Amino acid sequence: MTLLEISDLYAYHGQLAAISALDLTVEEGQTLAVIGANGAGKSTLLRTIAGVMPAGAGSIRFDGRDITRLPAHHRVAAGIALVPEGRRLFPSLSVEENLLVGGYRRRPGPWNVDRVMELFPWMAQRRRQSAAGLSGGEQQAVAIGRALISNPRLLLLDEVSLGLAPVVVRRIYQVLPEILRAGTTALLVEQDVAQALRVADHVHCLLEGRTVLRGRPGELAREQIERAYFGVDARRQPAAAPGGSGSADASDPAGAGDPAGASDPAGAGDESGAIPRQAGPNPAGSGASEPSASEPGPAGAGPAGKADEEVTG
Amino acid sequence: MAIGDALLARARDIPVRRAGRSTRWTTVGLGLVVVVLAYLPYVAYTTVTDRLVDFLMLLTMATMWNLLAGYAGLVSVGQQAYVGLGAYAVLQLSDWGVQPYLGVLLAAAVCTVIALPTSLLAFRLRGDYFAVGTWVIAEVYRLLIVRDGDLGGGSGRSLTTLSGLDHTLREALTYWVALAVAVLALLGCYLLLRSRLGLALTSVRDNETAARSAGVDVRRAKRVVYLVSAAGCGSAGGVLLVSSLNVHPDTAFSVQWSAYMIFIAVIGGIGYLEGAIVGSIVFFAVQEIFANYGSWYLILLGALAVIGAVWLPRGLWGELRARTGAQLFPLRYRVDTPVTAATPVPVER
Amino acid sequence: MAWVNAVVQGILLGGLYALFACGLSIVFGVMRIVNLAHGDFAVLAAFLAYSVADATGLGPFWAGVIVIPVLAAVGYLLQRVLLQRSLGVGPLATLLATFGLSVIIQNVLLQTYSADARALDIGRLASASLRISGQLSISYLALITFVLAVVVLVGLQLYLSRTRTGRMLRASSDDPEAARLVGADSRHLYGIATSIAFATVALAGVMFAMRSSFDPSIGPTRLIFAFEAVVIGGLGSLWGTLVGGMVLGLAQTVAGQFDPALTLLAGHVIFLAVLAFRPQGLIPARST
Ligand SMILES: Nc1ncnc2c1ncn2[C@@H]1O[C@H](COP(=O)(O)OP(=O)(O)OP(=O)(O)O)[C@@H](O)[C@H]1O
Ligand SMILES: [Mg+2]
Repeated sequence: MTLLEISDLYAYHGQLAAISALDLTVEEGQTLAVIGANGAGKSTLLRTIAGVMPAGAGSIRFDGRDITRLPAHHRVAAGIALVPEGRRLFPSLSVEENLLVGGYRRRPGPWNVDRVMELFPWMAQRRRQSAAGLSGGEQQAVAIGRALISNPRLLLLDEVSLGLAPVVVRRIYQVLPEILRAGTTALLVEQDVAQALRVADHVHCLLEGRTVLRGRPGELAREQIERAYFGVDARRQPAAAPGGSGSADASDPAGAGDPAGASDPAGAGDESGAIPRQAGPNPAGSGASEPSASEPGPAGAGPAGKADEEVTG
Repeated sequence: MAIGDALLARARDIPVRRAGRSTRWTTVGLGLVVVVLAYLPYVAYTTVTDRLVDFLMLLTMATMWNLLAGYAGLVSVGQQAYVGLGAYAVLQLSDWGVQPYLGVLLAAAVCTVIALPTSLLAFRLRGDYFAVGTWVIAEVYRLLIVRDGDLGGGSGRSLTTLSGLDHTLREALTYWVALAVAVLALLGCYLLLRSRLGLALTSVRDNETAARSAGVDVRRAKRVVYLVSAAGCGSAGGVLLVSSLNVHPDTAFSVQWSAYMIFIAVIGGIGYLEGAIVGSIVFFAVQEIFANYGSWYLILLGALAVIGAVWLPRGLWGELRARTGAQLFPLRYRVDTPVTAATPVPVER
Repeated sequence: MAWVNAVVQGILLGGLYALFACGLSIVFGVMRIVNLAHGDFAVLAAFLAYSVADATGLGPFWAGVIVIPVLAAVGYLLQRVLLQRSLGVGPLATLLATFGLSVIIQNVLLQTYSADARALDIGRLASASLRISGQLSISYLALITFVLAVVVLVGLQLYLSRTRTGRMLRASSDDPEAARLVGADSRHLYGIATSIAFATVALAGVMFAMRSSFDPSIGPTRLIFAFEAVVIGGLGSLWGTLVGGMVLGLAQTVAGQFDPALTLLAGHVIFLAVLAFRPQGLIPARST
């Protein structure tokens, strides 16, 4: 059964379309990993699903119900919980209070404060401690616990490994299967591609807000993923895409989060540095300020993203 | 050649001006208005010029408040501090033998000097707290003045040094001084906002973090605006004294002045120099029309301000401008020939 | 002995200031705004209590009991109808709107009740006092006010730390967006915070009106005292607000002992000194 169904979604930061023409479905019980370089729009996607970012166009359906315009707190009640990027615990609340607040719109289900503390035994002794005094990994555990306590049907995890030591990351990914065993559906964003491929049933790769690749981890070649990740495939597209010549307004140079090697996602291979900047002459000659801008067509027109799917998926 | 140089080279060829064709005419028009206003004492009764003195005084204050809030993002509820200090500065100076009309101009300098240390304290508070903090500071100045018996203490005092002048002449002189102060205030703001500092302020207003990282000294820019605003309000306070010839600490330092400034700026349009003019006219009209109905005019103006702040944040002038593009004081740069797709930037690699 | 008296009176007065201030503190903590009409709503409550007592013959205490929930409802509505919208407009809008509101309330009261000073008549209690020695006596009313203030602050503290909604208010004050992610309906929460502020300031207004005379113009001064108490005590801490209120009260009564004309000035000077030398306040918000 399809739990989450996103069609033709757009989301904007001001003028910038951080998500364009995105289609995505998640089946109940599935774990979907969204990967992509810095600035690809992964967080924007999760925040739009959670309802703290408005959808510019398109629709989001959850369990068959259109939630595109539903306020965030109703989405929590409906069973969507986001573990936000950077954890975002409440620093003036204690560990236990952070968890309790997570149960503000608790749905019936297996998770409660005690259960979370069983999962992370250290929490019990430190329940009264301020969340601000925890280490990064501990904070991440509390953030996950806080989201779990609402008993979500869909758990959104945004870069739970960000800024954590590898050991800690491994530990968190060890408990993940245990968390999902209860039947929770998960949509996780991860820059550590290898890690993502290990836990996910499906991967979805974003580049500058568009889908460039999707499939099952087993069916995707490593090289294929790397290319999608850095947008090499996008450049192979006929760049004189419809409307490509009229892009002189240059109002929207999606170059802010340039997918160049700077991001260096761990485990995604080392040749990365060689790929991006070699881009051939940009025939459209668009007024974009960066010659290496890999945006093939005008933002919002959408055809490029669609074409990619056909090539790669 | 790098692409940046190419763009710069092209940019040099694009004519960028502030003034549209209509600007020359508005300049002439505004000049004409000033000339007519300056001529008024020869043809109009003093009752008319008397009311206009009030109008010009409010216009000056509102312009100063508007500068502060609209361009530095500082909402003050304490500008009455400088109105009061300005009035008392003129009084004190006149005790020392300075001609009061000259004192009105000197009051600006006095207030600037006082505002500098004051800003050190007030700028510790941000946003909403700045607003109330400035109010407290105004109260402190009032209480200090009240303690000065030579200046009349808590019961106020009269300005006597002007009583030797012929009544009509005095009214005319007062009027001209008020007019000069208002014109200087508007002109000063205009020039300030056109300067480099104005550019810095606009960037701060649009995005403070970005401006900061682009090297704009935000604090300094805001402080300069605060000082200018204090100077303007000080002169307005001086006008208050020479027009009413007596001063009472409770009225000179009344928060009512801030209320007037805020209402005028909000109704006219915060962040537009023209807003203060439009707002002052509306304010004055409402005040005149409801003159016989007690304080209902304040209730009406308060309601207008609430509605304006929440539902029409651009004010009357902002709305007008959004619809017609009208402007009296061109502050924005305009590009005469827009860069179009038809003329691509040549890029060499 | 006169000095001891001044100190005791100052501390008791501080309770009243804390009562005026705690709503300001909560609203600022949760929404980051200052309601410039805060003091005027206290005066409005006082006048309403006056009218209720006048019309029904109830004593001022019962009139207060009626007026406080009314003001709480007004606060909730005001938040939902006006302030919430202003929050979306920009940083200046709330200040300007509440300032406009302040002027409106003052002048409506002026038109309705005239500028005459009034007082809530509480009969013998007004002058009854606990005589401790020849010089030192404590007015029952001042004592009641102080105890009420402490009870209110303790209650608020318990509410914020023990209840679901209270915790969510604190969470929302830390990080409004993360709070929405765990299911906070920010508009409702803000409404609750505002109604708490209005209820407490109404109580403060009624208590004030029992001990001093009041007229439509005194609201701004109440706002300033409340604000000073909050800043002296330290932002975001209710105990700080109580301490801030007491410091302010002490400064006023002790300076008044020197020279009555210094009363107000001393309070402001303490405030400015805290601002200059200890801007985080005497008891900054705990982060435990
Ligand atoms: N608050 C914001 N204001 C303006 N632009 C934003 C904002 N947040 C994100 N963006 C832009 O939107 C685009 C997508 O950002 P997003 O945070 O969704 O990327 P991401 O894939 O999560 O990146 P990362 O891996 O660095 O977390 C980027 O170009 C980014 O610069
Ligand atoms: Mg992200």
